[in-house]
Amino acid sequence: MAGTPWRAPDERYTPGDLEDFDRLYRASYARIVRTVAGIVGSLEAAEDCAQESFARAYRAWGGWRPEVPAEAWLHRIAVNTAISYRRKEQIRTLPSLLRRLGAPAPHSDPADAATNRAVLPELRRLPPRQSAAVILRYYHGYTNREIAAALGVSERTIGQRIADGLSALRIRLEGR
Amino acid sequence: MEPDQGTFERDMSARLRAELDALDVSLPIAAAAPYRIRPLKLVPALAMAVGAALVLGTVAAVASSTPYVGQLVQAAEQTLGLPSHRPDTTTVNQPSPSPSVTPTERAEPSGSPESEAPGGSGAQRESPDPTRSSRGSPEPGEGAGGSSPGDG
Repeated sequence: MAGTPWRAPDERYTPGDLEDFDRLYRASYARIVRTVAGIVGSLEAAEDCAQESFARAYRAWGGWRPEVPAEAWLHRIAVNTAISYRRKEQIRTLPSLLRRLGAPAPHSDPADAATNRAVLPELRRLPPRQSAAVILRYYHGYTNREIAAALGVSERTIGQRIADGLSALRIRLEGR
Repeated sequence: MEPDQGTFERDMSARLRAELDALDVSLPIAAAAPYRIRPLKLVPALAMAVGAALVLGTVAAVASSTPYVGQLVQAAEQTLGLPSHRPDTTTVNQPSPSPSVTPTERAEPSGSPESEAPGGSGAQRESPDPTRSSRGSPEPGEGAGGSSPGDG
């Protein structure tokens, strides 16, 4: 699978070193934002979540262990931040969701339904842990083992999340 | 799995990559990293909380240490323009008239025997509370008595 590898050759960071954290921030900010954007669905929200994630990472930078790649560690923080954002958003949007219940579905052209549908909105409809696994696998090109190490779950769990996410996406994107 | 599963994965992966790469992501401010600024948002709230705690603590300390709590309350009521609703406080918080009188009455009986019988017992009845009498009469009686252990 094509993708940027976890560990770039020049990735040498020292825990607690602020200059190193600045370097990590510049190197990984855009990738973190894109990961989060796939989970939360909008660039604006993704940038907010990414800032929050970097703020948390900055406070915990002294405790980072170099056995875990720095960007994987960042991804773990960012995914957790995005998941909690989604939870809060569900609570915020619950009233409007309830108002929409029973209303006629918005206009949709069946011809558009299959191939022209964008992936990101459908990805956002997945459970956040599934969408995170799909993004890390198919956008960043990480292996299941690397994702499992980054998110702190078993490799089997990651495989299951990816399989579930893919089948849901396939139904929504291709109608089967 | 179905034979076109791989095709779907490739197609979906390519579309996902195209959509995410199309997002215009740029570092917010290169010079001042926002992650360092963000925790400072808590500082004003913390400062306000500490200030409020100090004020409340000071008021509580003053109110609990002064013997004239009722006067403090009355002063606060007057400041706020509230009607005073406790006329009884004058009896409770009015130690000043009797202490200023009582010592002199206690000092005089030796020179005026006719006033000794009713006046002496009356003075003791006026200040049954030892703390109140000690607060109100620092100079003549208690001062002499208090210095005696040190002198002797």
